[in-house]
Amino acid sequence: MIAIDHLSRPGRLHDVSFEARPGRVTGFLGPNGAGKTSTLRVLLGLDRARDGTALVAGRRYADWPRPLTVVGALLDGSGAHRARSARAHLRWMAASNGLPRSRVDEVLDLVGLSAEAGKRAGRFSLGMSRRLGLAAALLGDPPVLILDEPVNGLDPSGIRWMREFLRSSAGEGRTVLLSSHLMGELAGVADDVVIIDRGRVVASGTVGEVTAGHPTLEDAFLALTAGGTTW
Amino acid sequence: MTATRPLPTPTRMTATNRLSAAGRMLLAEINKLLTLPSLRTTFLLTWAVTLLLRLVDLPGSILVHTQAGFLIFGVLAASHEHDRGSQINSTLLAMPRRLPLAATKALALTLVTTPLALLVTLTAAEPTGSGPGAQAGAQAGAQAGAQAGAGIEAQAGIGAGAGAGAFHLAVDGAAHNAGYLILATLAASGAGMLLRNDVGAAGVALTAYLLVAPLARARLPAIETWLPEAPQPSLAAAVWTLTALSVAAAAFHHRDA
Repeated sequence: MIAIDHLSRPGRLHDVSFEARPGRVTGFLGPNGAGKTSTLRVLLGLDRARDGTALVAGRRYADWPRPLTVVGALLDGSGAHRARSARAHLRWMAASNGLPRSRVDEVLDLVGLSAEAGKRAGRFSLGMSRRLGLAAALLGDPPVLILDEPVNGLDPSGIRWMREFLRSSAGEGRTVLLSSHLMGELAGVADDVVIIDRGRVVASGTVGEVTAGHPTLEDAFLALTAGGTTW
Repeated sequence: MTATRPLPTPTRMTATNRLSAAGRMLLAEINKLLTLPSLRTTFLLTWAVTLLLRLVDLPGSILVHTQAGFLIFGVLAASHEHDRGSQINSTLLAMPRRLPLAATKALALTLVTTPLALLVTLTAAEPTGSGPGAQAGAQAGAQAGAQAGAGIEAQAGIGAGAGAGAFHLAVDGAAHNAGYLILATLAASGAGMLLRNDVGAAGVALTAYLLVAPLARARLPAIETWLPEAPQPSLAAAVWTLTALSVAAAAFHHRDA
């Protein structure tokens, strides 16, 4: 379970609060630059907030002794040094959290990268980079998944795979929080939606609650944010 | 990515090794250093240049020149985290406690650099004799040899003693000089961590150790004791290293990744 409480960061986030619950996919929606990535980076202990708290299962991310076994995070890029092989990258990550080496091959297999395991990360296509990032997120078999724009750069079959993966993860009782600026991606995947615009949460609730009074989630999004006018 | 496969059961993840948090971090950081191709290349080039300078019989210390390779090594060890691909995100997601991480990085770099520095100083074979350790080693070797030979034939014993002494002198000088190279490497890694950019940090480290320190030493004798001088480990060299590492760790702790 993820609890974000009155998070503020000068110029970026203004009193952001929301929750993501186990067994559900929570979509964190907003136009580019609205504060989605900023919120997720504070939640993951990468950036600092001036005020407020962001907790994962009741603790700050940095206070978990083996965080990869609690949270799997997918951020922009593969997260691997481009000169290192995919396998070498996952091996040091596994070692850092005391995970067995055999787990590296398991996650490579899971995301379909077994054949490319010895290839340098810098030679990966965008889609392969995302899969390597996802493999790293899954290393510790975490109950919480936090994914920033997970389908960016994926081809149609990759997008379908990701949607099925997110649904089945929530079905297993995991907490899934993903950000996106594309509505179509979330319709049919998300149970709950949080809409953020210019650093402020403008709507949150179940998909049904947020879309009430609008024909589609996309219409709700455009009505709630200034999205229609920035083009 | 063709079909969704079931995730392994969570219980599997509890059957892990028994290393402490510090041990796990150290293992991961050593692992990173050993699998980075640019570090391997830098070391091999440094070693090759040392061997080459030894063969051409350069006047003065070879290590004054080849310390450049160790400075680059230290910079890359730290700055590679920030290269395109943002490995630093993965590093901090896996090991979010930043000050223990910074300390572990310094320890891992020391452990990886030590054998490499010894190999280079042994190749340079500069038993400078100026180090107190080197002199003591030579004397102890000669004495031990003389005593062992006393019962048989004094002359042969002294010969063996001199041989052993020369060996001790070489090894001791190498260990001594390796200490300097390790300190320089660590200081350069501080620059890499602070500046988060390999070219910028290499510029700073090379300028400081190859230009500023020797020039200031020549022009400003008053501050001589505060300047490191290759290849002698000194209090000044240690202070430069500790300062660079502390400033870098403080910045690493406080700023956004």
